[in-house]
Amino acid sequence: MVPLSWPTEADDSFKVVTNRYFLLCLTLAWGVICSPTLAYTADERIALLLTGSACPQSYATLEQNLIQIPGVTRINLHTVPDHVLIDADPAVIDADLLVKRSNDLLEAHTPCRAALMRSCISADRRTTIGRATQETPPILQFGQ
Amino acid sequence: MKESSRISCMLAVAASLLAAGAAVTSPTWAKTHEIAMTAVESDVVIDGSGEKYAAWTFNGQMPGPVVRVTEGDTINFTLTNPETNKNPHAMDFHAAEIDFLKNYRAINAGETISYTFVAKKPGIFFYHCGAPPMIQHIARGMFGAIIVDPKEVKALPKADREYVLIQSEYFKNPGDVQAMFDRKFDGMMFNGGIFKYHPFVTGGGMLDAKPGDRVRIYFVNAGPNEFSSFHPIGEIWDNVYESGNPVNSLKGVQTYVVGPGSAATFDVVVESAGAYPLVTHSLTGALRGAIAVLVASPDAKPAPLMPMVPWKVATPQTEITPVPTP
Repeated sequence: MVPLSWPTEADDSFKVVTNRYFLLCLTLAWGVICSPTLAYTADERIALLLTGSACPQSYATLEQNLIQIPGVTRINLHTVPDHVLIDADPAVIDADLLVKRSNDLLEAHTPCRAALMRSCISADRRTTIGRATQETPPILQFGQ
Repeated sequence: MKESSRISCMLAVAASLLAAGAAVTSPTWAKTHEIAMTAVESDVVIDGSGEKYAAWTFNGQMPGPVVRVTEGDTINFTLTNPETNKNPHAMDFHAAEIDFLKNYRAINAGETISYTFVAKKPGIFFYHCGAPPMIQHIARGMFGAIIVDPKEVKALPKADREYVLIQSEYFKNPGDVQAMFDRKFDGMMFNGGIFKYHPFVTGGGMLDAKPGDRVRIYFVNAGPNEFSSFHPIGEIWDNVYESGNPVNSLKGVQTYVVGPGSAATFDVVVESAGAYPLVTHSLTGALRGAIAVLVASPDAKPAPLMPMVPWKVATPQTEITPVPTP
C-alpha cells in the first residue's frame, strides 16, 4: 500500500516506504518506456494498391495475417477502395518486406497482387515537414 | 373629403411608410444571431501522431467555429479575452462592413468587446484576430470562416455535401515572429492539421462523398502569407464562386488562386467512385501538408462541415494510454 502522507526520516518505516516508492517509480518508468503509445507514434502508414479480380475475397486473409507480423499495429482495408493501409514501425519491418509478405498471402487468391502505392500525393509526415527555405526533403520514404 | 377622413388617410399613408421603412431595415426573412467567442490560448493537436502546438484560438479550436448566417441577417458579436490569457486579442470579420477603429481594436486579457453588423453580401468569408502582431495571431490559429448563405435559395445549385477547408501555414516555433515575416513556414495545414485528410499518412482521415454528389468546398486561405492554388486532382471544378458570391461565377476551372485573407466556393460533381485529392498546386505547400483526399464511395456517410476539428488522435503522443487492440 502506498501511504497517503510522506513519512519523515525519523519514521521507522521510512526505508521500507522509500523502497516501495522506488519500485513504484521504476514500474511507472518502465510503463512509459514500454508504452504501446510510444510504439504507435513511431509508426508510419504504408499504402498498398491491390489489383486483380480476386482481391475482394482476400481481405479476410490479409486482415488476419498481416496483423500478426511483428511491427505491424493496424490494418485497414475499408477506408480507401482497392487499398490496404498498414501502420507499422519502420524500425521493425520495412515496406518492401510487407509487400512481399502480402503477396505471399495473396498467392491463395489469384489473381490479386499488392504493390506499393506511389503517386503525386505521396507524402510522409516526418520527412516533408521542414522549413520552406531548406533543401527539399525526401518525400518517398517508405516507398509511398 | 371630410376632415376626419383626410386625417385617417394621412395616418394610413404614414403607417404604410413606416412599415415599408421597417421592411427595408429589417427584412422579414432576416434573423438576429448572438455570436459569442472566447480567445483561448491552449495546445491543439496538429498532426496524426498527436503532436501538439501552442496555439491561440477562438473557443479552443483551430480553426475557430464555423459561423453560418443568411444574407441580411444581423450578428451581435461578443469577444471575451479571459484574464487567464497573456495577450491582447481582437476579431475582424471580413463579412462585415463596419468601422475598423471602433470594432476591430485589440482588447486586453480580462476585457470584452461587442459589436453588431449586418451580413449584407452572400459568400464565404475569413475571420481572424487582428491584434498586433497580426501575422503571429493568425499563424498561431486565430482564424475561421463565416458562411453567408444567399437569401435567394436557388442562387447556387443544391449541394449534396458541403465542407469548409481553411488553409494556413504552420510555423514550428510559434514564438518566432521573424520566421513568419520571412515566410519560413514548416508545414501547410488544412483545418489546422498537417495531412489531416490524407488517408495514406498515419492518423490521417479523408473527406467523404458518393459518386454523383455535388460536393461544395467553402475554401478560405488564412495565410498569413502564402497563396493557394486550389486544384482537384482527377477532377475539374464545375463551378467556382469568387468570395462565394453567386454572381462571381466561373465554370470548368482546373485551378483557382485564393490569396491570403481571401476565400472562394468550389463545386465539384464527382462523376465516379475513387479518390480525388484536393491540393494547393503550389507544391511546397501540398507536400508539406495541404492535401485533402476526397473519397467517393457508395458507402459514404454524412459528415460535418469541418470534419476532425478538433483533431482527436486516438493515441496522443503526449499521453500515456494503452493502444486499442487492432
